[in-house]
Parts: sequence; C-alpha cells; structure tokens
Amino acid sequence: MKWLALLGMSALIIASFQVPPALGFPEPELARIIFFHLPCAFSTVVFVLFAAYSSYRYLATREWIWEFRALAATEISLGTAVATMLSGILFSKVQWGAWWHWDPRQTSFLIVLILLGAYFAVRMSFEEEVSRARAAAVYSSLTLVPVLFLFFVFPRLPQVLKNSLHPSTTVQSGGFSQDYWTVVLGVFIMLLGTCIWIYKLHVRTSLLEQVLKDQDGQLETSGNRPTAYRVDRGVSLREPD
Amino acid sequence: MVGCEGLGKRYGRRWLFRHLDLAVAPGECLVVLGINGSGKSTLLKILAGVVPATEGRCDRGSDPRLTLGYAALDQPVYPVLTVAEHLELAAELRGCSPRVEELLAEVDLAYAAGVAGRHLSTGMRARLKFALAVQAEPPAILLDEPSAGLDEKGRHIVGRIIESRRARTAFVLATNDPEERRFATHEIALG
Amino acid sequence: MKSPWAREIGAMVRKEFRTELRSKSASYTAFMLSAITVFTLAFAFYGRELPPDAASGMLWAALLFAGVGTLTRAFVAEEEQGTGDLLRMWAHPHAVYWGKALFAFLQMSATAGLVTLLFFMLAGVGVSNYAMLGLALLGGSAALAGMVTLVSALVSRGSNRGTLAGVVALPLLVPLVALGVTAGRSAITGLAQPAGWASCGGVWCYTLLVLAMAPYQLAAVWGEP
Repeated sequence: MKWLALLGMSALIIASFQVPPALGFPEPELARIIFFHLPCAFSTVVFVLFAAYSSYRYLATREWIWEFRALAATEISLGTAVATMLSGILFSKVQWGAWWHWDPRQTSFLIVLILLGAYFAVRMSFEEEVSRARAAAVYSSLTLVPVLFLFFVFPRLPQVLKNSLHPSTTVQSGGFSQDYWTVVLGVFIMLLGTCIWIYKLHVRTSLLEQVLKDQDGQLETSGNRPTAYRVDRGVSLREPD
Repeated sequence: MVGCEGLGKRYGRRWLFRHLDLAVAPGECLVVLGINGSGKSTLLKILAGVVPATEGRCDRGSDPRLTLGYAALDQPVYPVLTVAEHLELAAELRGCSPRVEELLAEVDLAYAAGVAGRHLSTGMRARLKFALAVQAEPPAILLDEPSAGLDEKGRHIVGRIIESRRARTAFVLATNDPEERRFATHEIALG
Repeated sequence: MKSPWAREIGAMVRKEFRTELRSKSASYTAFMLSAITVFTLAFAFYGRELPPDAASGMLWAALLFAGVGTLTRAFVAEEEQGTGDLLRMWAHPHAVYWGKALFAFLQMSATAGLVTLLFFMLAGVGVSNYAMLGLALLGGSAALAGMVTLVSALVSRGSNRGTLAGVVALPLLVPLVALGVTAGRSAITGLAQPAGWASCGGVWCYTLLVLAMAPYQLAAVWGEP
C-alpha cells in the first residue's frame, strides 16, 4: 500500500510540473505552489473539525480514546497549518511582492494557527492527566466557533473581500483548468491519506502508552530487580481491635 | 451512603491506590489509615468530588451538595468573609437552612461569628469547617484528620459531632490519630 | 418564592461584591491597568493626530487587554486562595458561572466606560453615532465577561495561569474584536452605517453564543469531579 502511495505521489509531483499554468497570476509558473498549499489548507480544515468533534465526544463520554484522537488530530492540523502558512508566505512573496500583506485569508489563517498553538499551551500547563484532558477538550470545542468564523465567514465578508489579494476570483472564474484541479485534488487525497496514516499511528501509540501506565511497574522488572513503583497497593478491610 | 467502585488514582506513572471498592452506610464509620503520602487525603478528596479519579466511579448520593459533608485540615476558607457569612453563603448555594446560631453554638464559635476568615486561628478554622460540613445534616460526612491542630476542647467537639450523628450518618475518617480510631466500625489501610 | 437559580446566582454575585468591596486591591489594580493600557496605546500617537479610522482599533485593543488583565481573577483567585473546592462542594457549576459572569459584566461595563472616556479624551476623536458605539461596547463587555470568566475557570488549575489566560483568551476573542472594530469605526466616522449595524449585531450574536455554551463548558472543566 505504501509503495502504491509513493508511486501515486511521484506521479502527481511530475504532473504538477507538466500541467499548463493557471491564468490570472503575475507569475503563472511559480503559482504551482498551489498544488501543495491548497491541499494543506483543506487538510487543516478537516483535522481541526475532527479534533473539535473528538473533544466534544471526550467530554460526553470521558473515554480516553477520544482524547487521544483529539490530540492526534490537533497535532496533525498544526503541522498542515504551518505548511499552509509557509507555502502561502512564499506564494505571497512571489506573486504579490511581499512576504506578508495582511491579506484577510492570510491573517485569519494566522489566527487559526495561534488558536492551535494555544491548545498545546493549555496541555502543557496541566500535570494531572484528567484535568489536562478536560481543559484541552473544553478549549478545543471552544475554538470551533472562532475557527469556523475565520475559515468560512470572515474572508467572505464584503468589506473584507474587496481588500483580499487571494485568488478566489481566479478560481471562481475558471482560471484553473480541469487538469489543474485534478492535480490539486490528487495531492489532497494523497496528503489526507498520509495524514490519516500518521494519525492512526499516533492514536495507537497513545493507547500503548496508556496500557504501559496501567501496567505500572510490572514491566519495569528485569531479572530479579524490584519494580520502581508498586502496582496495586494493598487494601485490607479488617474489624477494629 | 457514600462509596466507590473500582476507584483508582494515579499521578504520573505512580498509582496511589487501585481497584478500591467501598460502601459506607449510615451508622458505620470507616477509618482510613496510612502513612504520610499513602493517599488518605486524596481518597477523601475524590469521594468529596473535588479531585477527579483516574478510574472507577463514586456514589455520592442524589445531590452531593446536600448528601455529603467534607472537612479537611488543609482546606482554606474565604479570607474576607466572616464566620457567619461563610455559613450563610453555603446555605444559600446549597438550598438549606443556614442555622448559624445553632451551628456556631455546637462548634463553640458563637463569639467569632463576625471574625473574618484570615483572622481565624487553625483551631477556629477547623471548627468552622465542621460547622459547614454538618450544616445540611448530610447522610455522609468525610473528615480528613479532624483533630489535627486542635486543643482538648476542639477534640471534644469533634467527638461530640461524630457521636451525636453516628446513628444516622455514614462517616469516613482519614487519620493517623489513635484517639480517632475509636470511632471506627471498619478500617482500611492504604500503602 | 425565589427560584433556586436566582437564589444561587444572587448568592454568588453578593459574595463577589463583598469580596471586592472588602479587599479593594483588585478593583484598584483593575482601574490602574485599564488607565495604563489606554495611555500606552494613545501614547503610540504622541504628538500626532489619531486617524479616526484607527481609533476604533485602538479602543478595542485597550478594552481587550484591560478585560483579559482584570477579569481572569474570577476563578484564578479562587484556586490561588484554595476556596475553589468550597464552591465545588456547595454550588452548581452553572450557578457559579452565571454569578461570576454577571459580576464580571458589571465590572467590565465600568471598565469599558472608563477606558472609552479616557481614550476619547486622550485621542481627541469625536463620535458620530453614540447609539451604535454604546450598543457595540455593551455587547462587547458582555462577551468579554462571559468568555474571560470561562477562560479563567479553564486555566485556574493549571500552571502559569496569568500568562496562559492571555494565550487562551486573546485568540478566542479575535472575532469579537473584528466585529467590534468595524462597528466602532462606523460609529466614529459615520461612514458605512449598514455594515456598522451589521457588525454590532454580530457582536451580540457572538455574546449570545458565548453565554449559551460557556456554562456547560465550565461544568466540564471546573465543576465535575
């Protein structure tokens, strides 16, 4: 399966250099970074929304699997968000002449990145695992509304849209050919598949760590060396003297 | 009644206790023994609902605000509220009668009704906490080292509170004090 | 006969008032922080005229920092002095939230009034539509109170609470600020009134959303064992 994915990605990378450039950009050839930028942005949206859903499920059920899923999804969305931001900054420099333009989409995405970063600040502030899980879950579900606002509403507000440099008009007026879209969607599917694979590994690792913690000191013995910590502390119920 | 099923608490990779099943009915007094750091206070805090458990569940009655009383040695009080105001606030939030005069008389704090929390001595604070714990006459009361820091009079008050209610109340005491062990109908040892 | 909710929320509000009136240090510090924030931001335009376009942004920045700086005490102070457990044992989380949020709203409204007065005095900028500005500031105060009270509960049991509160609250309040700045700009300049009223409505929608969600979030993170 992994070899197939590797082959598919290689084919898409080659195709991304072969398809005719999109119209409507000052530097059409250098706009090919969109093949990477857009799929990263789409993946960020998918994982951010899934993280918020997992957080809600954790709060509703208090099952650790949902906390592990939320953590994994947020970590991946942070990674893809950083990739989106960096590729967007490169695009901005090449196409618009400056690294940062306060473009509404650029700005709103930066705030989403900050929201994702704050999730980890919350996690790092709690030593106790149950408190940490709850605080992180509440924060993640709190961010859903601002994130939806920043992704889907703010960049489309009329007073904001008129100041936007983002090539929404290029996309909507058919500046992207069918081949262009095929490559974009192909890369998105490959990237999503890769992210889901990493996500599953992450969740599995968290589950194994949980099992290790549950086993406590039992697995720390080697030969005749005593365990570092006792497992079940003895509890006796006895009648008073 | 107060109890727990499969209760466990872990800090990092260290389990304080695990697979704990308890059920304390009115008329019973469970004394929790153990060395310092064995988890006695943590167990009571989990039963009281102020600290989350790592696993398991607790039975605290239908409305823990009214069915559970808790007093701990290390529990602070509001520094700017007076003794009487503490009782009034607790009663308003819980939805029970404040019984300020009656409770202060029982714990011998009537003279300090208007004293702010920050001006109370350790013993006076302890007695205020007992008054708050028994205010709603809950069917279950948790006491963490109730006599610690108390003089002879204070210890006598603790004994009176327990004896006057033991027939209709489930008590859980966390203690290392041999005097307090005399109240026990059951004991467990942690550690 | 008083409803249980009214009784519990009233008890919380009275407790907050009592605590503030007797300690005073918190209110005084809040007043000083608000004044210093406004002065520092207005100082950025020292010797120059503040463009009316920029005035709204500066005002909301001042409100944001003053609000986050002063309102996070709601639950952080409870945990610092160790009395959070008392509230957990005595009160419903929802009643605790509404009591503290209501008190925070009163505190924030006073802060917003002071900040706005100071700001317009220092900035020398006029206002074209007082009703729009007033409504936006009122809604903004309610949203700030509601959100920062919740954030205060979220961070209260963590470490680095003061810093963490800012890190958590500020990004969450960005939509509010974006809407408030637009409404404020329209109120100050008198231009784009329909957009200004729409943004004012947006501020109140954000407020209602926060107040609808927050009690349940608080119960999950602070109240339940």
